[in-house]
Amino acid sequence: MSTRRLLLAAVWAFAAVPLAGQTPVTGTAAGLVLNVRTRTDAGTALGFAGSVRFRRLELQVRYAEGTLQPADGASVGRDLVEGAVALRFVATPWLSLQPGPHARRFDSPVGAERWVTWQLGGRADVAIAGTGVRGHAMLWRGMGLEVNVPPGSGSARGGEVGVTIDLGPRPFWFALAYGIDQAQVRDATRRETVETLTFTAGLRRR
Amino acid sequence: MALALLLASPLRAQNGSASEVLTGAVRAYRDLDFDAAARLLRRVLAPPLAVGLDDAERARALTYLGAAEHYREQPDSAIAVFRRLVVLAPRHRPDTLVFPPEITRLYNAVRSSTRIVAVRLPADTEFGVGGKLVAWLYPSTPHAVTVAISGEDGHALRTVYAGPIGDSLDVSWDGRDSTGSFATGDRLWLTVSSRGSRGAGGAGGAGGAGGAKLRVPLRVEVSAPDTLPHPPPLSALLPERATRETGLRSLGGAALLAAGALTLPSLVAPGERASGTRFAVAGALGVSGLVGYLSRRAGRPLPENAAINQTRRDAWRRQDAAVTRENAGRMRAARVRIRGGSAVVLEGGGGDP
Repeated sequence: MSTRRLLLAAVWAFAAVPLAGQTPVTGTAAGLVLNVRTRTDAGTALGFAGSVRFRRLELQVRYAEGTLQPADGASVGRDLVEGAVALRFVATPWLSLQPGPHARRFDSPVGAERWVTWQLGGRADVAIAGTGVRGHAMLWRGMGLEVNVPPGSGSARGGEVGVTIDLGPRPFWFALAYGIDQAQVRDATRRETVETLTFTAGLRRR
Repeated sequence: MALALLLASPLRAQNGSASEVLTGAVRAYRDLDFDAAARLLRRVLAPPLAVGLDDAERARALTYLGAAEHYREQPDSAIAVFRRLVVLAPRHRPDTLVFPPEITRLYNAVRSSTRIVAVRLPADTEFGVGGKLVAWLYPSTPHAVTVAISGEDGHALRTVYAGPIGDSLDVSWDGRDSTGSFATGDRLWLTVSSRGSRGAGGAGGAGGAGGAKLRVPLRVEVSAPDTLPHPPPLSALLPERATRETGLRSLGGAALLAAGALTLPSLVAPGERASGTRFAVAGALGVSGLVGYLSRRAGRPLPENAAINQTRRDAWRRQDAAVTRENAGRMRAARVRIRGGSAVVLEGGGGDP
């Protein structure tokens, strides 16, 4: 058996160990509203998010789309579509790692512009008021960035800070998060910085 | 040679075998020569002749000796001999065809005041889980007894029976001590303590005029598979009441995150002019921190910790119950072997007739 297979087996064995007091499978489904700002435009997007968690592993998906209006009011607006998938590994109740792809597309009359980033992030969770109110902070770094117009690659990094309110035994939860990311295309002066303020309202199934 | 033969004949007559001497004593008793009968009977009951007597012969000799002492007007000696007879054979009764009523009355009086129990149990018993060792107890007279299994040091491991004994009593023991574990060892004891009606002694203290204490050595071997250890007691439980640090930790954590929200743009995109949306999150975190601080002041209950602790306790109980079930299954295959020895009377059970 190769070292790689052994490593994968060890990771799976560790991931299969439940954390204390944890039920085997949990899931969430949520709707979200994003306020998106770039250097040149801003707007609102709507979307959804969901997750399924089995012991230490959690699969997250997120999708949103909306329209950004230019700040100067003169330029043409552009549509925004973004989606992300992440496989989160909960190492401890307060620390987790999450790799996964993130794609963002801007549609404008001159064409579609796609940014695809492979992210690797670390996230810390903090209990603020029991399990009812929790805060989190995440920093991630792009392991790869690809842009189609003009074709190229580069680097990216970002982060997010937020607060989540869980309504106790009821299955509802709400979250407010601020995120910012910056992508830079190599050998070009092009740089894209996007800020998001996300409000999420969701259901949780234990 | 002739001299030797002449000398040998009287010596042989003088020594004789135990049975011959006993027969001579009985003959002397019937001839009303009580002094000679008593002398011969004491001889036969003392070493070396006593070694040749079995229990039945010894009981017969004691009966004749007690009667002879009575007729020799030695009442104390008669009582002492009859008490010895009761200790030797609690169920023995003088033959009423041989001994007159005054002798049987005296013997019954001694027997009634001498509370002692004889124990009979199998020399070698082997049983599995659910099986038992059965000991048969028969007393000199109805009274109260306590039957216990004791360790080498005399400390009672389990009281098997405490109560009255009439004609006889079967006492069973499953090989376990009072905690339910098998009691093993080469020097365990089945202890029978007779309790006197005149308040002399309770269980294990029935000496003096009240009763007797008798012990039967037991050798107990248990062949059982290894059992699993029970999980260690829960030690790492979360505090279920807030301390002063609890609220401060909530406030500190929220403040740290709020500061993180404010400084995130300079970390991720230095030089960029960030919007004010981050203040909304920082503010929400700040308010949450204050709520957390106020709701988790010292002494307040922490339901989330209580829930986690309960989950841990439940898991521990499940684990403990699983070990108990598994061990019970393994112990079903256990075999117990008990070998009993000869009874030893520790304290006499005499009383005034």
